[in-house]
Amino acid sequence: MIIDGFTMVGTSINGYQLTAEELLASMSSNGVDKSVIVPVQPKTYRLEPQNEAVAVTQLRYPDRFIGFCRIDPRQGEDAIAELRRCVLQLGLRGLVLHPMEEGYTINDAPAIRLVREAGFLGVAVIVAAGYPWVSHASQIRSVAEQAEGTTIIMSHGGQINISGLAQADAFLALETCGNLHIGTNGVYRQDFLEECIDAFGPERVLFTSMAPVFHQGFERDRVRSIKMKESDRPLVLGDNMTRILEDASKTAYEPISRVKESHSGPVVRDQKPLNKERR
Amino acid sequence: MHIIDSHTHVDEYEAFGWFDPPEVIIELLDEAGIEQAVVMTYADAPVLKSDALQYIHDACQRYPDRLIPYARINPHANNAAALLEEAIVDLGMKGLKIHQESVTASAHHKAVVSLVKKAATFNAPALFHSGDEPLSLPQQFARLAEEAPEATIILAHMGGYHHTDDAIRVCEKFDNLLVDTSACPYPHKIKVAIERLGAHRVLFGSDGPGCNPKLELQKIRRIELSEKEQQLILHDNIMSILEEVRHRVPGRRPH
Repeated sequence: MIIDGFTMVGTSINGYQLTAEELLASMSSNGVDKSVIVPVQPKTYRLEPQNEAVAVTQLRYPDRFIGFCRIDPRQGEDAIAELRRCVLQLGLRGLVLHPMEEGYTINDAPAIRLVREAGFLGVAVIVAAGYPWVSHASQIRSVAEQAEGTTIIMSHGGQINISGLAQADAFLALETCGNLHIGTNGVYRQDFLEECIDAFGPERVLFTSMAPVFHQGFERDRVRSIKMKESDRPLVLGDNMTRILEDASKTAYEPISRVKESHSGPVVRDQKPLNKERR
Repeated sequence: MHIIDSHTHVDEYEAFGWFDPPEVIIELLDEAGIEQAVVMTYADAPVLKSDALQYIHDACQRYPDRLIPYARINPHANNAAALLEEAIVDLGMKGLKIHQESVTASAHHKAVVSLVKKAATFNAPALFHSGDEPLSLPQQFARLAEEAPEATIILAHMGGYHHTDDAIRVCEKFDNLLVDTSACPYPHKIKVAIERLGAHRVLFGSDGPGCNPKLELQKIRRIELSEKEQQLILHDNIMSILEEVRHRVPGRRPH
């Protein structure tokens, strides 16, 4: 099972677009079985309708798409409520944070709170990572330390630097935080991926394309080019994402008591966890 | 088709943690079906690696039919110009490499301009890092291009992750600027560069061995190019640049 762990569907204010049908065509031509789909930032700046659209698309193609929601943590209590709505009502399976496009810093308090909430709900968080001012690996490391119960996937291998100067921080983040993983999209130097697999195991690396910003087929080529044990390659190509989604489902209920302890704000505890039922 | 990779590295440099003796790139070139590669060190002569030029020279001597040496030099060194002259005239090197983040100087710093103009006296190209870092931004090359119009200046990586459009824009403005495709993560942007600059101003490079040459070649294969465009990008462009390099100084004999 080959799963692209990060794609974006919709028309972005940032100048890129991808329809579900175009993504399906790309998946077919590149041998991708499933894709995690995530909303883009729309011209309206309103992510909630985009989350709903992703949920609808997931329902329409349940065998091909896994929907994640996208939320701006600066919405405060509304962000927490939106995450719970997306997971418990819309049946979305994870959270994506894009500090660069939304314009916040990943280790500010509202973002940390949202990441912790995702852990309580039992869903993973993908961070558009490696942007030096807002989502540098050292900043994500700080988040991971404060949200140990949350599985976090850093896109771009946790580093966007075409000199390789950010690799040490991404490596350190992986070394010190067992809940951190990396996505393979756009990674500078394939040997960085190989070093991470050698050091931390193939379980910590996931195939992500971040299409349409990156080319899904070429990003598939990137994973194919990693020099690693062939028997481990399926982990990177899809099994790790499957495991993360399954692990999340197992822990979905357990942290609810922690939610009660942790939040003084409104918590929608009486909502039925639809995602649990679905599974 | 005979393919030349215009941007690779050979070095064993502990501080960076990158140990890539020549055999590493040779093996990867073989895997990719690439006949020749331009090579340079990771560390700059003479500041970070005093014997960098001799090291790269020796590496190329071991594989004279495969590896083509560039001199990576820190322009701030008092003897930078002399080192470049020695590299080209005495050691037969074919170009200059400057990594601005490594030497802490932008492309328009007077020491950089001076060394690029020195390279131009030999018709030797100057290969620069370009990307998203503060000293490597594509628009910074405008001033260099103005001050050294006689120089052939190559922007490696096509502006990195977020300055690809800027790299194409600045190259549109100055005819003496070219781009190489190494590590550029966007195949479609290479296509755009070809459309806007012409295939004659785009060079295939991998930045191997860290960036796998076979994978880097896939980017070129994935965009639909004519045979002529592929020939230019994969071979002819860099070959014509290298053929123009003069290994002599009027009135001075090589050592």
